[in-house]
Amino acid sequence: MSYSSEMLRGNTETIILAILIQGDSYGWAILKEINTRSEGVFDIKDATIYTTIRKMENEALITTYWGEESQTARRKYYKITEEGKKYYYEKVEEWKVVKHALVKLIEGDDTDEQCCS
Amino acid sequence: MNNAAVDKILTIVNRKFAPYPKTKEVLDLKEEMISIMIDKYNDLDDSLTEKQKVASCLEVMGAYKEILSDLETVTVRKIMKTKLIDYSIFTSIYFFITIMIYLIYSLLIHKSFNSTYVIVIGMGIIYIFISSIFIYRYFKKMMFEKMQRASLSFIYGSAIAFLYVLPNLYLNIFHQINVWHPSWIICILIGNLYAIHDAFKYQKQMSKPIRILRRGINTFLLTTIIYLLISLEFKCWNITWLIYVAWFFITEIEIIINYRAYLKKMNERDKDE
Repeated sequence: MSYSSEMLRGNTETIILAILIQGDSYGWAILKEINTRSEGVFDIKDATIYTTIRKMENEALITTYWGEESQTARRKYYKITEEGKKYYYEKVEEWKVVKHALVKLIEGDDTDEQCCS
Repeated sequence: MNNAAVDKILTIVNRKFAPYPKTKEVLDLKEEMISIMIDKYNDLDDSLTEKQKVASCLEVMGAYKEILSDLETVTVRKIMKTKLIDYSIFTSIYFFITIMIYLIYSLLIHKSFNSTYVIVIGMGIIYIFISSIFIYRYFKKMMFEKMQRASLSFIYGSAIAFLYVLPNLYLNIFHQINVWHPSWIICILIGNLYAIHDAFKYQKQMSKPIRILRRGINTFLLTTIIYLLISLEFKCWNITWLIYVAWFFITEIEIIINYRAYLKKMNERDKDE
């Protein structure tokens, strides 16, 4: 079952950075990795990914380089920048706070787990 | 990945990119898009048909629509700005010189403004002719193939004014020689040259039926020139119309042969799919 990409809004950049922080990757591989990691829960559209990647490139969160040619065209690889790493860690911290608050709000769970500061 | 699928994807992507200038940014984007499509194709479920796979790959293009449009705007604006400045300077100088020639000739040489307006008309025609070449070269630089093709017709159109109207106007006004007829053959000749030039240069952009149709038009124009030349030279209008009959039969046979071959090819392709 795949859920609406509405749930991911605002987090697509962080998700892409989470993949790139583990190593350089290219467009289609990133898309596949998102699908695999979310166990098929999130089926992000091609358009969303590539538009986000472009935006991240403009914001200098990632850089690009061309790979070896494979079947008529070269792949474009994406690499996280230092600024991208910094942004990613900030977003992870932010996410922990939001996640904690959302669990409380949606599940009504007030057995307070440890939360990031 | 099979070659037919690669070809199909490449054809569609090339067609999609055809109107855009072939700048580095656009070419990089195109290559990136193709590589993603090929990766996607290789990864798609084997249960899908070739047609479904290709259709799924082409969805990637939607993601780039906005980016492509932005890139085009930035690149085109940059080049257009430089070209427009050059063109404006040229236009200002050109018309300044035109007015100077007109005034000097009228006041000092001809000592009258009677008929000298032809100078302005002539310079205007030359300006249009130069402008059409300028526009053509601009689109060539930008690699806007469709616009380049359209501007080619503008060159030939202005060539008619330059080679037919201008000399006739000059001869008529300054030497009282009237050769508007039969020099109008120049117009048909230029039209024919244009049709042949366009057909050879841009035949890759044409589908097979259009190519056949264009060949028909070209040979028709050529036939007209032959018809007129023979008729005017030998004054045998009563018999030369047979040239058209010959043209009609030859063209008809050619169209039938080509169309049958085209249909056969299309049927074979449908069967393969």
